[in-house]
Amino acid sequence: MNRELLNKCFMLATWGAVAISCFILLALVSVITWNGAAALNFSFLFTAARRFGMAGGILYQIIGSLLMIAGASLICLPLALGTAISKSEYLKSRRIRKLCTALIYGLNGIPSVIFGIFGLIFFVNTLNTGISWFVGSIILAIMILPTVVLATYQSVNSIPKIYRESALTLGLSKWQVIWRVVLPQGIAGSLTGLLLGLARAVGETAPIMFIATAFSGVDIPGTLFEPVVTLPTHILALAQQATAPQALQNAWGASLVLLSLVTLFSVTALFSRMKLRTISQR
Amino acid sequence: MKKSILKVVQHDLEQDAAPAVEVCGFHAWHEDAHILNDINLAFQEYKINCVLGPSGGGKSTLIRCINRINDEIEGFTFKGEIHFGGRNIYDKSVDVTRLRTEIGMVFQKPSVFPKSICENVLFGIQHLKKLSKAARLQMLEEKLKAVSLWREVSHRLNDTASSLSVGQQQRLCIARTLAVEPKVILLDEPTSSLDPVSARAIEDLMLELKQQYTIVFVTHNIQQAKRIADHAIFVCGGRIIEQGPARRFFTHPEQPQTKSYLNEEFCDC
Amino acid sequence: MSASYSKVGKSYVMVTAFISTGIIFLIVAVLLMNSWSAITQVGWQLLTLKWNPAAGEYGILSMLYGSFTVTFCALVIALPLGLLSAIFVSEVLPGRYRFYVKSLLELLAGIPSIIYGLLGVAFLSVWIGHLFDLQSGRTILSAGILLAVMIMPTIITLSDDALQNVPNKYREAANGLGLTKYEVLKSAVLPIAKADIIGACLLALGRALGKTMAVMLVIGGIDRIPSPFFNVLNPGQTITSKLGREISETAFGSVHFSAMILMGMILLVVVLILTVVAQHCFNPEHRLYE
Repeated sequence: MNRELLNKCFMLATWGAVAISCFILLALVSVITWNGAAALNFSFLFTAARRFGMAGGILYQIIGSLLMIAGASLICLPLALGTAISKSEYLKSRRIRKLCTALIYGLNGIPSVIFGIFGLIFFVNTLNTGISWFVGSIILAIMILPTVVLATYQSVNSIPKIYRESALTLGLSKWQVIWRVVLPQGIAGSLTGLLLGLARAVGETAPIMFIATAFSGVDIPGTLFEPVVTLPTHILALAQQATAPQALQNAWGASLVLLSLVTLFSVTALFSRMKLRTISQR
Repeated sequence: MKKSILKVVQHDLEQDAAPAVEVCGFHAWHEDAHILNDINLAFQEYKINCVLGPSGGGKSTLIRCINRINDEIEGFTFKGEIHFGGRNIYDKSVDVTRLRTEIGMVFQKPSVFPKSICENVLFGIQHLKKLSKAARLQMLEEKLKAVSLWREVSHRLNDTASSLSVGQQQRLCIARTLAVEPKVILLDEPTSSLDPVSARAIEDLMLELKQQYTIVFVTHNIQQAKRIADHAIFVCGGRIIEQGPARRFFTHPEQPQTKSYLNEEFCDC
Repeated sequence: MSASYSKVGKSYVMVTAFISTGIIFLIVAVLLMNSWSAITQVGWQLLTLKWNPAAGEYGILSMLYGSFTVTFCALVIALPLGLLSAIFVSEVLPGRYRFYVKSLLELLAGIPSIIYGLLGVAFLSVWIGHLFDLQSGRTILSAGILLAVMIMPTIITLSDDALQNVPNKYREAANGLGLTKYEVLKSAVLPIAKADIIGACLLALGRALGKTMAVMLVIGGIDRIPSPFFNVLNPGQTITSKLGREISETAFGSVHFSAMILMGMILLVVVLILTVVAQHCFNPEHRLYE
């Protein structure tokens, strides 16, 4: 009798926890969508901000965000591909591979604000680049590197050994094997990882707010070493003026756009991962 | 003449042994696959009931229905009744957890928990009742002796169970089931993952245990069944092809499929 | 011909690997170098409660305490809710819904920190202010609750993975012995999943410590320990909120700057230790069964 009661209580507790979790998370998304939709219209998306974001739209913020993550992709992909291939093809010692993995996982755990102050010290001050969107891209690339490396490594590792060995017995050199057998599969995996990483990078504020962004008076940068405006930093600035209703409303609008971008990247990554899995299962 | 009369009387007596479990008109589906088709049988009390048949024929599904462990499988549906202790076990009022303390199960692969030997043996029983330290030791000794493990492990009861050989682990699983003191023990091909010597040890164990428990023993090893069965049931393609007392079953099978299975291990159900 | 390609290829691969694994050392080195002047010039005075750069006081304890308290609040809320939800998803939910639930959790874990900050500013801090009749709803508790919501998807998804990794045969064996679902979980499943779940909690802890934007907006930015010390309805300051608010206005190279970098350094070291320990928990060599 006592056992039955205990069992029932516990099951009730799990149902309760799930109900609370679902409620909170659903409420979140609804609030963001509801408030954001109120602010969205064509002109909002396609005009520049005025009066410190109190009026106007978020055109250049969107452009700025997209520009930075494009830069981050270009920097990150070659690095990640090379690292993953080195781990699976060249580094034979188990201890070195474990060390490599540990260091990359360590990089993954670093809080984003630390990346920000690192960028501030190393690039903006020591290397004297000033506030530059390109530096922001570099920092974002470093931040998402572990994600992309891991995804690439997983897809490269799942290539059955038999393919590599067949190619080698046909007389191909190691690099030719990599170029023809490993790399194509690796690129597919790295793109999936990149999408996941970009979903995170586009929403990050702390790494870039000291080093790549200005608040206003900026449109499209002319060189690599100029600041930009981005969605997350714009939302931050508006949130700090939350008492003004117009600012708040624009903040919701920008949030909805940002969230849509994040969701777009995540969902695409999901589909890409599923497609990869079915290919490797054939 | 007298000998043959005696044989007939013995035959009748065997058939009148009390059924511990009766399966009536039972069907089972998994998703859309019709796994068990109109099963009607009786497992004899205090006997070794061997369920024989080729792989994939539904033997495992059948006995897993008896302790209702198939309830946990998604997409499992059934029709029919299974009678135990005077009730249909699939009745709404039946407490499944209690049922499973009365009908125990030993699986094909020994599933010892990553705990010590004594914790494994007492795992089931300690949830049912509070045992004093003395009672626990007594239970350990009794059940481990019953499975002939006591001499081998009595000095290292606190060692982890995974340090035992596979054959010993399986006997430990049986001891764990015995500790709960069921009336029926279901064994799903318990010797499949064991070497011949350990398998024989389990068979000898069954011959001893049948004096106190009803044994339902699933196997695809005909020789094994010949060695230990009192009552044999041949399942193929989800149906009961033939069932009866072991002696008659193995020497004079009635159905052609039974004959071809016993002789050539081939059945085209 | 192909030999030179191979050489180029190999050096490309090795160089990238070197860069990727070396970055973390670079970051640690840069931070260490820049916190050096604070360590040498202020020394043990750093471990005091008063932060007043104008008067040359650089006590960082209030920020450390703030980080600790906010994270503690977050874990107290998120761990029970998250673990119980994970048990539900893994053990109670029918298998056909798992894919949708897991994908949903992943999407939720990806909501940017700044949006949580906005929600906190616009709603949560207002509610807390009204609920407890405070002057301002920007408190340690608000930050804690916000943080809890942010790390819950991570806890749920990782704990669910941990539970799913327990082979089914243990559940079956325990079920076959007539244990109730709660007993099966408590005695058979959770002991095996324990290491992975602890790893998951440590990872969640590390993430919570590092969140900046949401905490920065709702914590109130006061460099003081609340009075009494357990009063979470006071405003406070964490390492991350301090850095977020003030680093860009601090003169580069000054002791002030260096003290702030030191706080960042402490945060980095703690998070790295947590990550290493968590990875150790997940190490498959530590699986004792099978």
